[in-house]
Amino acid sequence: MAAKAPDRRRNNPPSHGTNPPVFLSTSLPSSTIKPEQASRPPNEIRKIFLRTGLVSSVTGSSFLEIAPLKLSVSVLGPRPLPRTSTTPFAAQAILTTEVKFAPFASTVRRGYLRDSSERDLGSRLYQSLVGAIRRELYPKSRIEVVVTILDSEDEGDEVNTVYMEEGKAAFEPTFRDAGRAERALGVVLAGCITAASAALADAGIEMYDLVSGGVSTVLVDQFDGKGKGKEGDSEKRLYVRDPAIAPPEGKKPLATCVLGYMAARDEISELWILGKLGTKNGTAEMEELVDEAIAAARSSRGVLNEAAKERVQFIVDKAQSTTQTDDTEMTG
Amino acid sequence: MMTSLVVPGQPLGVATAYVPGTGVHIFNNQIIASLVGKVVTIPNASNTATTSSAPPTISVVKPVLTPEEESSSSTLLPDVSSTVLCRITRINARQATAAIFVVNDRIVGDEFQGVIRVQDVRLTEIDKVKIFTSFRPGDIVRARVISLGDQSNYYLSTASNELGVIMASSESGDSMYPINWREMKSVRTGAVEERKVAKPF
Repeated sequence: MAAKAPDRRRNNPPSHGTNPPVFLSTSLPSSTIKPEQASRPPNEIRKIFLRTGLVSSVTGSSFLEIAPLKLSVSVLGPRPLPRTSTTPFAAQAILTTEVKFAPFASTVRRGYLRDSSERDLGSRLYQSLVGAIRRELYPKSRIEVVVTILDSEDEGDEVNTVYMEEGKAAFEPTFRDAGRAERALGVVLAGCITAASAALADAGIEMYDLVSGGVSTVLVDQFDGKGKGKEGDSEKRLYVRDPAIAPPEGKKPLATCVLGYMAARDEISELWILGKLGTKNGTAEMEELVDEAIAAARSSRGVLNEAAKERVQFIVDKAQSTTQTDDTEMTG
Repeated sequence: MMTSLVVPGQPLGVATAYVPGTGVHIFNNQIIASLVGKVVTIPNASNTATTSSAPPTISVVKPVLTPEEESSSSTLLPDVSSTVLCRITRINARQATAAIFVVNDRIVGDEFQGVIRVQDVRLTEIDKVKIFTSFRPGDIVRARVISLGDQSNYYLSTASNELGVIMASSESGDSMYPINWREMKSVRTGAVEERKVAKPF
């Protein structure tokens, strides 16, 4: 997969990418350059903007923004299976999920073809949603969930960057921190899950429960030099819900947990833990991490509920106002 | 008027207090909403006589914005015994293939493919039926779904008086009106063609 033929069908941008404008820090008000993490307590998730019904040509759609993350979800179907489908009779709806980063969505420009991280996110999204949909109500049909990520903190899949494709690494990959890319993808996945649930609800597809995504990261104090040997009780664990990609000053991320959570049923539909946890009391730490992610998912569920209702409420209000005007016309 | 909306997963009441309608499911002996929408409870007939034998039916209904939206549904699928309108797309000696575009008086988002097999065309004298004298490509047919069929086709039947061709064009392309249960006449040329005609209402 590493040496992939370059995409010749489209008019591609310069392979080395383009440089974003760099502004002098002094020209910005000091409040805007404050580290984002510091302005928010660790048990609070970032503000979520979520709205449904933006794309009129599909059954259901939603748009989500969490700080730098922007993504839109379209739900198509239930529609008949294609005539060439190799599946025999399908008593339950077939769910397909697709996650695609826009070429400009990461800090490193992405290709148009789906790469491994996009496929991975797609299958994780499938896993988190498939159990929540009442698929038995839609036999012989398929439901498609298409996620387009417009902006993210993701820094691209190194294997698939343009540099690697052409076989000449233009720069030395600098060591940032372990699991940084996964943490960015985790935040993306949690956003995908929440937004996809909103889009499914907007489509009017029956579900057992809405699935909301949650992320949490556990951090430790960073020691100068060789701090590894001191791992033990002295290290204080800091659990952060909905982490920003940059760890707070002097902290080192250990592990990240992403999950899809059905709050009304108290069920986890998808669990993704990455990183390293202490070997001494790893189970307790793991549970704490998962609990924090569940708490984050519960917080986003509140937003999800309101977003799912918002458009329906608009329709109800509209219907009531039109009937009221009709009444006055009749009496007048 | 205050209307409260529910979201999927929201409990609506104990399962014994209601009869589940559409848009709800039962989990842990609770009626749970499966759609975003308004809760509609319809008291059942015998419930008015202060008997607890027939609890009210509870459903969740998704409101629609326009009448056009009400007449169409993109989440609607044909089911066994639903009445459909379809357009005949191609015919052969064994079956007529049709594209279903209306299910139970509602327009579907995507057309579904169905077949009317020769033995399902009419109720009597099944072995004398010929597809070529029953349907032509382009005919609009009212039919009933008899089976979800195989991977690609719904199986349809027109074996009833009120089922069959409701709109058709003659070979010369002008519209026809039914003159009896198996013939239609061209408006312009007066030519008579054979069809399995649906009984007009």
